Amino acid sequence: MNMTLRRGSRTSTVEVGADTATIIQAIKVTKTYNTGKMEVPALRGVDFTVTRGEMVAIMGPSGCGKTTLLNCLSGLDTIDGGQILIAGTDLARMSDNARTTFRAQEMGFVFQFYNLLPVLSAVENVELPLLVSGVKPKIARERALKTLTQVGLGDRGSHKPAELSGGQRQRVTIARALVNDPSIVWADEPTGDLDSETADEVLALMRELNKRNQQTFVVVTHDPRIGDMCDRIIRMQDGRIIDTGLGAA
Amino acid sequence: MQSMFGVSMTSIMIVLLILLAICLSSGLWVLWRQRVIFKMGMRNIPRRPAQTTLIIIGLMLSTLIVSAALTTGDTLNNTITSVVYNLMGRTDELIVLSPGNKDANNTNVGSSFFTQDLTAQLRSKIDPKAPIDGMMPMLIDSVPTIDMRNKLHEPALSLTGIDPSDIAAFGGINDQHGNSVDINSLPADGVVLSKTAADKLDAQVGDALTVYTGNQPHTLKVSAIADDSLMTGMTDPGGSGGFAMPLARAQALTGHTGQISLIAVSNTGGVKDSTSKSDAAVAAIDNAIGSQPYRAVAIKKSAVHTAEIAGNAFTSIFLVLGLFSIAAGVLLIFLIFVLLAAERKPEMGMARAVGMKRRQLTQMFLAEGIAYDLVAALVGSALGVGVAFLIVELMGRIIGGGLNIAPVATWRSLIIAYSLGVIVTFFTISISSWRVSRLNIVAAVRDLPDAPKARAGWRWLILGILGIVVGALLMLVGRSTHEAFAFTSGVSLVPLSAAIALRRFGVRARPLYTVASLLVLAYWLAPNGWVEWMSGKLNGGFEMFFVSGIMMVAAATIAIIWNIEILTGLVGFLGRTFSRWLPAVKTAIAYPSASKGRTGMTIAMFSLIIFSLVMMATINANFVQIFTTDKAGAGWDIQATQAPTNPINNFTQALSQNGVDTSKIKSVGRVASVDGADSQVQAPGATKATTYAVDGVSTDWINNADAPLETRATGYATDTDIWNAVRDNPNFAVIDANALASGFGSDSNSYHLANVKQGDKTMSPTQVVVTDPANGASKTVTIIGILDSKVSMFTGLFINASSFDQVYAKPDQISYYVQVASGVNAKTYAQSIEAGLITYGVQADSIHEELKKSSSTEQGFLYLIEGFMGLGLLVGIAALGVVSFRSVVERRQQIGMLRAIGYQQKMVSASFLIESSMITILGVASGSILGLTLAYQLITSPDFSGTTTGTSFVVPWLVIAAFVLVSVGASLLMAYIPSRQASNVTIADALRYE
Repeated sequence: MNMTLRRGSRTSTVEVGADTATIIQAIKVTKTYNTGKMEVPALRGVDFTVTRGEMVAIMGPSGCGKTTLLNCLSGLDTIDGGQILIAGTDLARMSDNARTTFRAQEMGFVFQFYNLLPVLSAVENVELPLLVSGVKPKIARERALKTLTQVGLGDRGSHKPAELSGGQRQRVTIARALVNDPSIVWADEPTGDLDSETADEVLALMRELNKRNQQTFVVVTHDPRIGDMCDRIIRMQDGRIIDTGLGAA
Repeated sequence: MQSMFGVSMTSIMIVLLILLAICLSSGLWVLWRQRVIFKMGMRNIPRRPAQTTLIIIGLMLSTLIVSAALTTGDTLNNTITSVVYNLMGRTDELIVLSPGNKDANNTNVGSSFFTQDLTAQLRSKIDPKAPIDGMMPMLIDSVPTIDMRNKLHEPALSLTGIDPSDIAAFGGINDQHGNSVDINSLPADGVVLSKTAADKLDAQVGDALTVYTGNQPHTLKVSAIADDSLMTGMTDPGGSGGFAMPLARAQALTGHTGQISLIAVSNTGGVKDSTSKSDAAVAAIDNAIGSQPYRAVAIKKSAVHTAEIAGNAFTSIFLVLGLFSIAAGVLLIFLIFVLLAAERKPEMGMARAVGMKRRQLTQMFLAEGIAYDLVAALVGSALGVGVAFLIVELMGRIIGGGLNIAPVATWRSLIIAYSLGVIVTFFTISISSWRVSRLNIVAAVRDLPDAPKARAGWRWLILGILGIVVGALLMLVGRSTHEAFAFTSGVSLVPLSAAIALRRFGVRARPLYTVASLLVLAYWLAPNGWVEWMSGKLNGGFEMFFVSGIMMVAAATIAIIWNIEILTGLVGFLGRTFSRWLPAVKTAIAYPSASKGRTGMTIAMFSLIIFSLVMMATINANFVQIFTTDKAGAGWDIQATQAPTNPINNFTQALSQNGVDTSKIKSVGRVASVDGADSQVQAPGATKATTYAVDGVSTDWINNADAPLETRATGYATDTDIWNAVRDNPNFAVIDANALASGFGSDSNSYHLANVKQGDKTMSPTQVVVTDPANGASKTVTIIGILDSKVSMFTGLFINASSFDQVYAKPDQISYYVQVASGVNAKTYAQSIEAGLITYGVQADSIHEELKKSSSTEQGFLYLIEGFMGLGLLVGIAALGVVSFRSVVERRQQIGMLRAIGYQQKMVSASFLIESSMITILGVASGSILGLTLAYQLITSPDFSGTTTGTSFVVPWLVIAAFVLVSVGASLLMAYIPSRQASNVTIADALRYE
């Protein structure tokens, strides 16, 4: 069946599965890296679902496949087997252009090392996803400034990343992830490069936005505090999900 | 080539080899004392093969330019000297009649006749120890010739009489198959035709020739065709050649019984090494001549010296113009090493963290750089030879006339080019290695960008102050010596140095550098005369072309780079128009704005090369316009010249008598000329002998010519007043604009007007003494006007015909200038004149056609030079390639993020292409604007081309468009591969990339 996702002022029509509350569905997902000398299985038949508005942490030891899973779920990487449905849409069946457009409209990303463009100011970094989506420059700038204000950096818009602290940079990243009012925010070790105090601030902000905007957050982390803050923790080991228990939030 | 810029090539080579040894020993020192560091440097080389290839290409260009310039000079030198040796054979000196000043540079042969007895007299008098092994009396006279088989004619071939008994010492005459031709056994009417004359007449052995002497026809027969040489009447490389016969027969035929025009002298030794004995031979001959009115001219030595000068001149032109490419090459080397350092920043930071010292980092880069350098210089030297051979081959085609190019590459030139290339690169690498070793360890390990500094360090303050001091000193020196090079360099250095110094005190960089660079640009681009109050009138030569380019491009690049953000304002406009591409444009502008150093260097490279090309093309186009207008021929349509051996008493009557329709003639003027070699012109009482061509112009010529003047003597209201004064008074003269001292290329032996500058509208009447060195007659005349340089067909000192006849016993050439009636085709009528007056040896040409021909040869040379300068574009294109490839690696993670947030593949690719195009266009636009503006200043300056009144400035749009298209096209091509790489980056891999 088809249904219309409505977030903020935008609408997008996607095919959804039987369960309309499910926004992310991974079915027997496999992924193997070929290093040239040997094959390294990164995901070995991963099955799980995430419901809309949920904040989920993916945890596990280094090399267990957390980041690979996040990349595959978000369409940044391809899978070798299985199926991934985002709001019922099979990303693997989309062309690169369509997948990119879908990502631009429906997803936001927060990375451990911020991945801001050092040559652009904070507000220019934040407005970039809007411009990519074809929003008019003037409106994009207004929305970017508004989002920066939401993350507490309304007065830092003209600063370049090098002129901001680590925590401020991560806030800019979060603003960039949220400015497009996405359905899903993917975060890969969002506090990995921050001190604990700043990490707490960033986490609180993410949780607040999750609750306020009812956006789905999938967070890959080593940090048990993030796990504690999330609705649910998915634990991985050797490319498999070993636990999908509920979090403490 | 024996010398360059006045310094012996061997001395240059020795100095360069010493410097090369110093450079190499520093590399060996690293190998010996810092083996690990050396290995680390070496192991960096194979890491990125494509990048290594680009680096070697970039590094080799400077060597290529030097090697090509030197080899071009060597080849031209070799080609011209080969022609000289072939023509002169074993003839080293000529003994000629010279009753006047024996110091005069009179090398014209065959213009006067004297008794044959002199040969025997000198033979008995010359010291037997003198290095002379042969003397031969010769008679050379110019005669019109018709090949009766095909009716082709030549107005002036050299009838050459040689003494068969003496010819053995001169190597004899060989036919084209190498067989010796015995002059003695020629038939009674037989002659040996030179190859060039045979080609011009399309003559074959056995053909009957009709020659005219004293208007009487004589029939001769071609017995053999021989190589061109003095013996067969080929007296100069561009001549028409002639034919040889026994001396007695030549004397009878020309009516010069018992007379000769020269005695050829052969020195002991071979064809080439005999020139070293010329001084001794000339001294011995002059000693034997005593007070008689003859003198010996070391003709071969002088011609070889001229060849050397010609080779040197071309080398200098190519080297000076190649300086733009060399400068761009130096920037490229610097850029390459800055980028290499950026790429290796984290590992360098780590190396420093674990204990590597700053100097060891420098040594590591130096070791790597020397390895690139040694290979690149080798490749550059070899390719330079190839480029030089191509250049001279094209030159040969442009000159035409069967000039046989003799390619040669000398070890000395190659060693100089190689050493110079290695040394220039080594010093650039040393500075850039030192620069990159100064890194912040933490920032380097974490690969963080350098934090912007509010104020510069002490080093910059010292550098700035040093720059101000040096600049001020240069200004002082320039002002006192009137040297443009020193003053303009100083005036450009001061504001930029002041800006550097002020940065130490926290003054904001953008306004500071903008103001400083705009001040420099304002100085250079100020309209003529506006800034003269600072320096007074300055003298500059060809080097100013380079100085102006470097200074203006540096200033413009600084201004652009510190204001590049203005471009972001345009993004808003683009955003409204092409909103889909706005993100690509935004990132395309943001990256170069952030990397000011590398962007500036790349812009400067393009700007420098395009500046030089546009400037050259524009000056060329305007020169063509100024000097090939109808004014060039002073309003005359046809020039008919003849040797004075068979003068025409009445030109129009002679035409009528020979069946040429004279009703097509509107007017005729006569000019008798002696060239600079046969006339002395000097200020009264001057100690140094100076020469100048002199023209005796007829009343009809003055009355009918349209010959405007650019400077008039006080007291004359109009040009007509001056010409009428020359016509009516044998004591007055007009001189052409070459008499104004012009710095580069001016001949120190030629007369120069001391008290008049280019651009002066009035002058004081100036007296000069004109002398005929052949007979010693002289006369004082007063120069009352300077001919407009647009009248380019006429050169020399113009006096009226009666005044000319008072001084000069015999002109070198008589020319008749014809204005044809309306509707008459000048080219066709010139052919009728030539055919009608063949017995007089008249050669007639349409002036318009001749101007076109000479303009096309000059254009050919200029295109060739532009092509050579265009080699520098490779530097800019290579730079863009290096920057683009580096950018893909450097921004890999950011590209991943951009793709993650929604950048389509084509958007990433477009961003790279827009970025490269923008840098190229900024460089090309800045170079074009600066080149055009400076060319405009020069062309419209009265200092440059005399009067330019009524001349509009020509912009060669088509040529400029070609430069732009080639530059942008090549840059896009170069950026295409990295842009594809960038767009194909796998997102997840890129995000993981460190």
